Amino acid sequence: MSRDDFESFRDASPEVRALIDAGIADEVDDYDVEGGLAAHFAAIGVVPGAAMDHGLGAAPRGVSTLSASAKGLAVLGGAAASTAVLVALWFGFVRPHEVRRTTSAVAAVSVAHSTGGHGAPALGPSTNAGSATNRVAAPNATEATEATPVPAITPLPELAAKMSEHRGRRSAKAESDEAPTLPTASSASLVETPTAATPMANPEKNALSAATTGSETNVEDRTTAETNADAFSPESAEERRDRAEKAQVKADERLERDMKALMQAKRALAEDPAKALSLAREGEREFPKSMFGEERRALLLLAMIRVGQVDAARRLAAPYLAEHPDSPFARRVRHALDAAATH
Amino acid sequence: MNFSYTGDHGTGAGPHSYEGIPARLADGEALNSAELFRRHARFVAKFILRMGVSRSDLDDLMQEVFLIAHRNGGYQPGPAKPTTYLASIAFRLVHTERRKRKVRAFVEIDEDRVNHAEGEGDPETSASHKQQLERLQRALDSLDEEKRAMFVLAELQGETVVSIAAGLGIPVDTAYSRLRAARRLFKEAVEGQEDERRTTGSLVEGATR
Repeated sequence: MSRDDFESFRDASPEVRALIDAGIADEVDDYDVEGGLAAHFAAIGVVPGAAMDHGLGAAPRGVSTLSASAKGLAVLGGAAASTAVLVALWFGFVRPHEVRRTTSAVAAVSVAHSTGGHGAPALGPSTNAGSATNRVAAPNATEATEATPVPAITPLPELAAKMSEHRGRRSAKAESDEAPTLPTASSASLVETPTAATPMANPEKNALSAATTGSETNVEDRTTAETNADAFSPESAEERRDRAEKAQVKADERLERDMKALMQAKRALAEDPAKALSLAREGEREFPKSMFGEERRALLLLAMIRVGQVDAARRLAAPYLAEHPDSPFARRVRHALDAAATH
Repeated sequence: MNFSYTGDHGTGAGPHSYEGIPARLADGEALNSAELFRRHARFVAKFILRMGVSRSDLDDLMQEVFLIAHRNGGYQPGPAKPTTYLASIAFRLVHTERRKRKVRAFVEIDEDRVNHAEGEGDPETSASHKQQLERLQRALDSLDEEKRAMFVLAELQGETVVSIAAGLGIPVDTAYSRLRAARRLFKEAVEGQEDERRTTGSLVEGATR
């Protein structure tokens, strides 16, 4: 079919053209992008790495039918206990009608994993194996350097990198959980230990032998590297693993605090914008590389507009709107600024 | 239609090698699932609805689409654009859901799907727009899934055939012939609706005389 044919189709008849025009004009404006994105954040925040790949995956297949209820979460068991906490947090953040989405999203992950791709179509190899396959790019960051009486809106943090990091850490933890017997410095035990688990369980050693592929040469290299690493650090593999787990717990707690702070600010926006502004600023300071940076900055701008700091908000909004011209958050900010201008 | 996923997006396994299309359309940027959601949620929502999914199922399917995109490591620049990449995921989900449910309700015209046309602007215009969307959906529903996906993406969402072919993992020639057939069937469906309306109008007119 030539390009001419492509173009000529629209001239087929006025009726056909009218219907197609109606379809083109329909932008599905009623779809709640913000709510959907909040649910998506909850899903990937809840289930990155361990939960998605190892924790929830162990849930019974019957969970697939438990869309939309706390019942679904209850069956997920201990491995998902922390996820339930995060989901509960999100329940306070997302609107009631979004609860179903959030829970079903969690269930969907479980289905996808527990059915080996039956619940959701198999879409090729998973890329959650760690940093080697985490190819999520950091968005372009531009420095906001305006001198204003309020804290400058920092550029969109490396949301992607954060997600990638988070997933990588969880994967590493899950991998180490799967290989409770960590290799020692002896070459015999290294050979017997699955190679795939070794670099994940020992990221520091892995950095010393990045090219490890399981060949004899690499095993030897790794052995040397491990010996060297041990010579420089008295820390045992067990201690390193404990340290990694503690770091993971800390990261999870931070994410939880981040989400909670954002929730508080969002809730305050309608009733007490000054408080929302204060909370958003605090959040900016405490979580400069937050996964929810874009949302928090939109919140901050909306709060500023509501407390009457319209000019300052307009200045700060300029780089934000330039960076995210089509985002739903930008749309809200733009509308709020327009509304403020007409009053 | 071959729905098997190539894995290229998820693995970054090197140059894409779809038959009949260039290895790379244009340099783009990699996007994580959150960024994909921010930029293309409405595009995906529209595609899912026009594929015949009811409004009440939209939210769940949207979450699944982007969760899969997340599990795949987001979007990597390649033959498919982010939009057609997401559409290909949505297409498979819709296909799977429809097969799983096998209930007529899933593909029936759903008032919710066009309700968003109401409540804004001139009431008469909204009503007319709603009617047009209902007719559009009826005509789309007369197409099979593959042709409908081609038609929706090419005609209603402005995607190029090459990008659609890349997203769906089919040869460009196949995509073109599928679009050609979809257009013919769509026209026939619309003309059928016109005939039906004329016939109904005549009958009503005759009955009121």
